[in-house]
Amino acid sequence: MDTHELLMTAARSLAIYVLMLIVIRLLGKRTIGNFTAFDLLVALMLGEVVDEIIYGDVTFLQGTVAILVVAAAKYGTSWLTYASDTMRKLCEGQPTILVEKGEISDRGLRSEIMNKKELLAALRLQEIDDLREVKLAVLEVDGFVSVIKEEWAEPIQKSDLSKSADQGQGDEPPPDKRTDTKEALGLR
Amino acid sequence: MDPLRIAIRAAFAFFFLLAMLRLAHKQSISETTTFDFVLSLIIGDLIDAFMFADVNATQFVAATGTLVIADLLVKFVTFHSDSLQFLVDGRPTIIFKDGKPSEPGLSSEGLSKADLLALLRLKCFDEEKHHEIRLGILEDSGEPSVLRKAQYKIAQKRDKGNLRLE
Repeated sequence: MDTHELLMTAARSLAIYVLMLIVIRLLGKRTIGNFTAFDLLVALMLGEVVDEIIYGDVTFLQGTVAILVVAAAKYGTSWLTYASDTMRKLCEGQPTILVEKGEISDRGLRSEIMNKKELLAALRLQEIDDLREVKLAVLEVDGFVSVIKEEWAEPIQKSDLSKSADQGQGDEPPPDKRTDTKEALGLR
Repeated sequence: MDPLRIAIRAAFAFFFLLAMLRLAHKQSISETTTFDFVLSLIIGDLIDAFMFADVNATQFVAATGTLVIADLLVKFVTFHSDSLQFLVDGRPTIIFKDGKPSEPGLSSEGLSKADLLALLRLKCFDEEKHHEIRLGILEDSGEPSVLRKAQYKIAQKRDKGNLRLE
């Protein structure tokens, strides 16, 4: 590879970086957080296209077309799943109950083809070593297990303690130590 | 290779794969196991070839369809057989026990002391808090689980009656 080609690769990388930044910002926060099946898809496809463009195996125009089509498909389906519950169920699926009131749902595990050991591992990862503490464990559409604990297993809150702890007014942080001010959030 | 062809292929790939992923199990999305992770890498490459090379739609459908079905089959088989599940996913490894590192676990996973410390930090345990740990486990997915000793567990609402006021 000569210097000219290297410079072109660098230029393409930079250009595609800027394009991707714009596309991902326009597609919204969910592209990177709270994944669904087609968020994964979009990530895969965009990744592949970007790869081709950087190495110059595909012209910038062709690559951009591919990126825009994927972005448009994602945007279209996002909007559809937002507007219609039926579409949402079709495109994203439904959460499945795995544990209810300390009892494992064999039916739930079976429908998700999930081995009991996997469920226990998911609970361990959330520092739960006692199934009785689990009020509800759900396999979400993005593959993660969310756990709601029984009331008595929840951590102690200030409202559980005596009144003086409840007031705690003297505990307010000064404005420059707060993380929740409008300035901190970047809002006007 | 004209842009229209690419556009059509990209759209086709998108909707076909959406259908495939919906048919597959949910955890392939979160890439819980090594298998799921590898699967997504391969599918990524197949998409690439389909959009930009001379692979036709039938080949693409055959390739991705087979992979997804194979993945489901493996899932199904490991669901029913514990020994096969061990073969495919491995087994969680104990890397920390009763406040001390577990040497057999560390060596079998090829973890250095630094790796262990990092894994425990992921669960908010610095060295000063290591003595609170009953069990530190490296799960199949590569994430660490940390379980505390009884007296160091986070106080729960059912413990309200036992509060010791300073």
